[in-house]
Amino acid sequence: MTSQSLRFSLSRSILITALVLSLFSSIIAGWVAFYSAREVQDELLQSVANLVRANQVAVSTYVSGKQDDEEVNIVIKRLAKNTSESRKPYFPEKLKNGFHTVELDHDQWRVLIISHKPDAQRYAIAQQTGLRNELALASSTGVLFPILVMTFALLVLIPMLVSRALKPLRKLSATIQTLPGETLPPLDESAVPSEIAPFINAIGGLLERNRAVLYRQRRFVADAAHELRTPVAAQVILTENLARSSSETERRDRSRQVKQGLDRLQNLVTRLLDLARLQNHDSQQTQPVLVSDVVRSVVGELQPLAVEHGVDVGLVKDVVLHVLDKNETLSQLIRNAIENAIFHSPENGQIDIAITGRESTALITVEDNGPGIDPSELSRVMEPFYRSPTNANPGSGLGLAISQEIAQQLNGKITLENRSVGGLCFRYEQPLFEVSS
Amino acid sequence: MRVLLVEDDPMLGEGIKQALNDAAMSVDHVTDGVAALAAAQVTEYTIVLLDLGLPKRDGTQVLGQLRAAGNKVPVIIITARDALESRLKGLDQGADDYLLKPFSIDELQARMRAVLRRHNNQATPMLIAENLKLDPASRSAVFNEIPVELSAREFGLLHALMLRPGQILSREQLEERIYGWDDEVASNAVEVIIHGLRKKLNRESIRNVRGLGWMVPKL
Repeated sequence: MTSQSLRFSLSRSILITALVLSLFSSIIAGWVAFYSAREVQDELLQSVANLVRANQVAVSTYVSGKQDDEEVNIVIKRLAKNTSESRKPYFPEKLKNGFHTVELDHDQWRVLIISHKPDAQRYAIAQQTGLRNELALASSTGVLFPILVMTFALLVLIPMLVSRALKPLRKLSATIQTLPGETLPPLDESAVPSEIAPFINAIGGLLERNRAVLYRQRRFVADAAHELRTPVAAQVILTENLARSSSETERRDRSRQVKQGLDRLQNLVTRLLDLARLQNHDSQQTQPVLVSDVVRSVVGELQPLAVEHGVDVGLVKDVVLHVLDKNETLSQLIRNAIENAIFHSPENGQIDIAITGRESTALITVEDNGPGIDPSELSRVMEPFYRSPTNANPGSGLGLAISQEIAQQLNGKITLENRSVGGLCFRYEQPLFEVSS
Repeated sequence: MRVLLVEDDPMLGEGIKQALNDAAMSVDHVTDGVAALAAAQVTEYTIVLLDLGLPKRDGTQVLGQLRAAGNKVPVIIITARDALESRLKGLDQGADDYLLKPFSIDELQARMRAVLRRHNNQATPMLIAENLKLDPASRSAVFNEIPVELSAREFGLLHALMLRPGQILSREQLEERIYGWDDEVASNAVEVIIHGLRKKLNRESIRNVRGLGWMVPKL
């Protein structure tokens, strides 16, 4: 497909329209002139006929005179059976009373046939149509000429005007082309025609969204680098400290610290890889799962952790609901939620999990009786690497970010809210999958 | 040498504190910007190690507020922010050096010594007083050309005095310079350490000015 120049196609269509219109108006002007000239001619013949009826004109004569500087020659003839004695032109006797246009010896005539009352003698009052046709031609050329001049003017003016109207667009595209790739400043839409403004607006919106994505990714990379540096630094220092231990107990203490540091690094790297894998949308297996199955298996896996923290985890409501799972990520989302609840629960805390259905969505809630989340932090806890300053458990800071990513891919939604009785309520909603049985 | 360590990562903070303790320094470890400012207000630190990404108040803000309050304590920024911009900003805000994570503890200590040298207008790495030389890097002393073994506390106290030979330090000032928050300080601890030092060196090496405190004589 070849790209269309707006300037070219606009100029072309306007010019073609102008030309077609000029042609039509000349034809119509000629037509109108033709008929009005015939009317004038017919009226003239009628007036002469009236004179003939009043016997004021000699028959077989030419009436000559001037009308509007044009020579007018009218022939009045008696119609007879014997045409030999008559001079030309001969009008056929079979013509009925009234107006006729006839052709005699290559000349066109307009003829009015009348009957004279006393002896029913019929007369022809005739005039050649040349004058009439001249009038019509003059009229249509009179119309055609200014139109032609105007058309030529348009031929020059239209491309110029169109080009001028499109100038803001050219300027805009030139501006955009010179922009550096790094930054996308907001575009000034007041400088372009209002028809183009929505388009510019839409492009601006797209750029804005791109910028947001780009910013988020850059920030993630920067954050990831930052988040890796600190544990690595700790690891370097802890290892050096271990090498410097002066006693056996010190050595044992310090090697335990090194082990903890390594665990933390491993956890962080695993989480980062999880997130990277999630964001890489390729090769996704989608399958319907029974929510209850997923929750039960996760609770089973986390039972040892719950026991270790002295927390009671239980399922308080359960209904048969199916949702679509991708690459078994739903269980990761639920595991993160329950793990977080366990880590933030007090000793002898209780975690209630409920599966409920509302119209076309499945709702999974995980309620703990821990400290909840400070309202000022609620909006930030899902950001990658965000850790509450009051959080004593140094996690990777990626758990909720991963859950959020999973939720987006499963078309679900995570909401965190503080319970009125204290503690946090994690809510996850996802559209139901209708099982056809 | 009393160090204020401002680092929000508990593991790294603990590791640095341990390493500096091994090197005979007393370390106060805080994990947020507000606590750092509060600590720097009440205690006269030899040096501050400052992380930038801190909860409550960012490291650059802490540094800015310290300098605005006229606190001239040497500050080394230890951070994971490697962007040139943040390094320049840190130095322009009044930091004396900038160390990027991860780093070796040896490099941190070398930089601390270098910063302290500059801060105290010394050209050589050795601290020098009358008859006495102290090498902060090896933590060894030479008295009248004879090497002397020093305990961690003894080195700490001698280091505090020898940073400014000729300047008198009171008992409180000395205690503040060599003990951290976590240390139990006996009421006569400073006298005990000085007594030990005088035995290893000689009576005249550390002079007592009655009612004021102690000093080492200038070369």
